[in-house]
Amino acid sequence: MSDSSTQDDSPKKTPSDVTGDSLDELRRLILNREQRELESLREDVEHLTKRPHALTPDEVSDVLPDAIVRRTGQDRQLARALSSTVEEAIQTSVKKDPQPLVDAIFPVIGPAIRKAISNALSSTIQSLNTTLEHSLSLQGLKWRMEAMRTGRPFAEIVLSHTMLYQVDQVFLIHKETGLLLQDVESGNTTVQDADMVSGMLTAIQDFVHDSFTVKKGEQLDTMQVGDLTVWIERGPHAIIAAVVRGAPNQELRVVLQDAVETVHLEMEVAFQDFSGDSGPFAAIRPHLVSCLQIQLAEDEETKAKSPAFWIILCACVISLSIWGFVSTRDAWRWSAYLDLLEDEPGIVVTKTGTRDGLFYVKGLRDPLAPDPATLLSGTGLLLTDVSGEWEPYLAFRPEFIVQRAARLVSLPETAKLTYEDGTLHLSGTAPMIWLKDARERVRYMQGVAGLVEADDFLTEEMGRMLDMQALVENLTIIFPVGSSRLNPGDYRQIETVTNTVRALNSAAAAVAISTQIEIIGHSDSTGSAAMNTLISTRRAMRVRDALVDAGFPASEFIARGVSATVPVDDGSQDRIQEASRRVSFHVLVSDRASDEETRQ
Amino acid sequence: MIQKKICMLGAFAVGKTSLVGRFVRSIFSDKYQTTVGVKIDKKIVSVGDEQVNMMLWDLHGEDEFQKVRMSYLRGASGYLLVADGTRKDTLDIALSLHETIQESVGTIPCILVVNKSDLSDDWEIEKSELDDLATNHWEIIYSSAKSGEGVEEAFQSLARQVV
Ligand SMILES: Nc1nc2c(ncn2[C@@H]2O[C@H](COP(=O)(O)OP(=O)(O)O)[C@@H](O)[C@H]2O)c(=O)[nH]1
Ligand SMILES: [Mg+2]
Repeated sequence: MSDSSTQDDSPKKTPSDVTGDSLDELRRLILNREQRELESLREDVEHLTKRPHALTPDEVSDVLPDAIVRRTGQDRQLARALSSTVEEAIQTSVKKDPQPLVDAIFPVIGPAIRKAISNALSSTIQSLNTTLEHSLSLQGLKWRMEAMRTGRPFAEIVLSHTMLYQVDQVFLIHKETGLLLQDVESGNTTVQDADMVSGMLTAIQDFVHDSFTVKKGEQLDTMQVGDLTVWIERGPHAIIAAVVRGAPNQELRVVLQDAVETVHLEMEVAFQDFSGDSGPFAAIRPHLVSCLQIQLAEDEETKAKSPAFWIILCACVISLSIWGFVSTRDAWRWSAYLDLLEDEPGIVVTKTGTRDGLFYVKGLRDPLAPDPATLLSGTGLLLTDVSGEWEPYLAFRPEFIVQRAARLVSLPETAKLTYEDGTLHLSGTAPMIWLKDARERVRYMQGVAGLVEADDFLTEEMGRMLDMQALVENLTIIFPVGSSRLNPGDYRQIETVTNTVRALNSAAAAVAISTQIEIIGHSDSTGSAAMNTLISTRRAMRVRDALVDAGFPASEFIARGVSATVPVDDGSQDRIQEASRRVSFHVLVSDRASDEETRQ
Repeated sequence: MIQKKICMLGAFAVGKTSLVGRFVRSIFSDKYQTTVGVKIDKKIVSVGDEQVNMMLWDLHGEDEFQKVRMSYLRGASGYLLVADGTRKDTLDIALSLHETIQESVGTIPCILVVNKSDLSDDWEIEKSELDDLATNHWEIIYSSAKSGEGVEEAFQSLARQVV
């Protein structure tokens, strides 16, 4: 390919050779640059024909960084390829001299170890604390028994009972301003006004930091109120505060730390630009949601139950059933008692229930109704089981109106009251003066229109009058055969008549009645009719005269003979005949007022 | 919604708490006030067509003007400097507080509120003194937490300045 080399190899010089030399010279002068380029190309070609795929180190150094970046983006091939070499290199380096590597990782390894140790320690201390806290309590004793029964360590039992917690709410709070950036909740919200709480949490931290001498970097990271714990994890720009119910464990700390770190990683720019607008931070809500963790205590069902458990359970069941029986029985008795009360006239139940462990009844009671306490007997309830509250009231049932009226008017035993259609009805007998007073009194009674006398009612005075009338009409005076003369002994009879008529008169006067007495003469049926009429009339007149002699006005009597027209019928013929020779009396009654009218 | 931290500053008993109470009705963090020395309230106000959630930090404590905790001021967007018109010294305290704040926090929006304007009989702060301040670019609002005068105006005006 190269002409010059073939020409340089010619054995002798000729004039044409001279010409040849100068031509070379000329060629060199004119084509110097091209010639050199050709030379270099020739070398390249030779190089390529010898090792067709090789690159120069220069070329590799040019493309290497780019190539690594590209390849790493595509797959993990490069990392795989390098790993053994890198491992070997590190091993060789450490073998040769460990110091450079120790120096290099020192800033990383210190905090990493510290963090790991502190996490491990704090969970140990936490469980130790809970263990100690519970070892002396009643709860602790129970757990100790459980540990003995199941053969598990006491600390493990304590932990299984205490590791129950739930994160209720998580806040992301801007560190500098205390403003709320985001918050998420589990549904059982503990805190209402998240943005104010956010401010307060910041203020509290400032307060603690300012008020107590704390080392740089130390901060308040736990707050506890009753069952609630607030855990705080902080980053350079924001803090995460988690409101936790129950006893959180260290795993939650790690979750919170992760969340704070991720938020800072993703929101670096938003934090730089923050001026009160929390909108951009909505993007990190999922990280906060991931902090809403629940940790449940071990399932109670799966544990083996001790004999003591079963004994206690049986005792519970038995006492429950006794209690159930007693309370059902009492409830049944109570409702029976209430039924009794409801049925009782003059008692109105307005409220029932239980109060202070007693049955309780409230209502209205007429003073005439029986004492509700007396109704308890027979129900099985005791006076001490029941508390009653009774307001007095007036019942308008007929029996109560009658009872009240009887009390009001001092009803005599001989009389009786009934109530019908708003009116009191009086039967039996009673003195007239009482009746007058009673009429007056019932006028003021509620629900009573008046007092009326029933058909069978008699005043005492009228009763006496009627008695006297009957007495008079029962009297007879017997005469001898064929005579109208009174024997001396008959004057005794006349005296009886006189007294009786006098009593009749006064009884009649008391009831404003005037009386007239018919004196009726009778004869027996023997003898002539004319004679009998005469003798019977005479007998009547004889008695009338005797009465007038005794001081009665003659006008009070009417004397007449009826011969044998009104026979007596009681016994033997002889006795009849004797009884027929008699004088009998009949009382004529008239109202005194109408009597006077007729006289006028 | 935009949130802003606003601080209430001034001598004791000038009416900071009363002004906040008048402005908002929320009574949330009452129970913290004695222990922590700060009570936080909030009220949402409109500035133009923007809503601003004002987080109001009311500092408590009898001698709060002496040792106001600068940490509470951190991140504040503005503050109300409250003086009591019936106590001349409260204005001096307010002004010296202002200086302290400027040194530590820097210049942020602030309004001077001269409170208790309803007690004109006991008035002590000279109008001329306030006029001087006004000419020095102070925004001054007379208020009464009792009658409500100027309260809304003070907070609104500050809200406008901080957004
Ligand atoms: N008359 C009147 N009294 C006020 C006014 N503002 C506050 N006060 C009273 O001043 C006292 C101190 O108020 P307070 O708000 O607790 O002051 P703070 O210490 O600055 O928070 C209280 O007794 C208030 O009732 C006002 O505008 N007018
Ligand atoms: Mg106050």
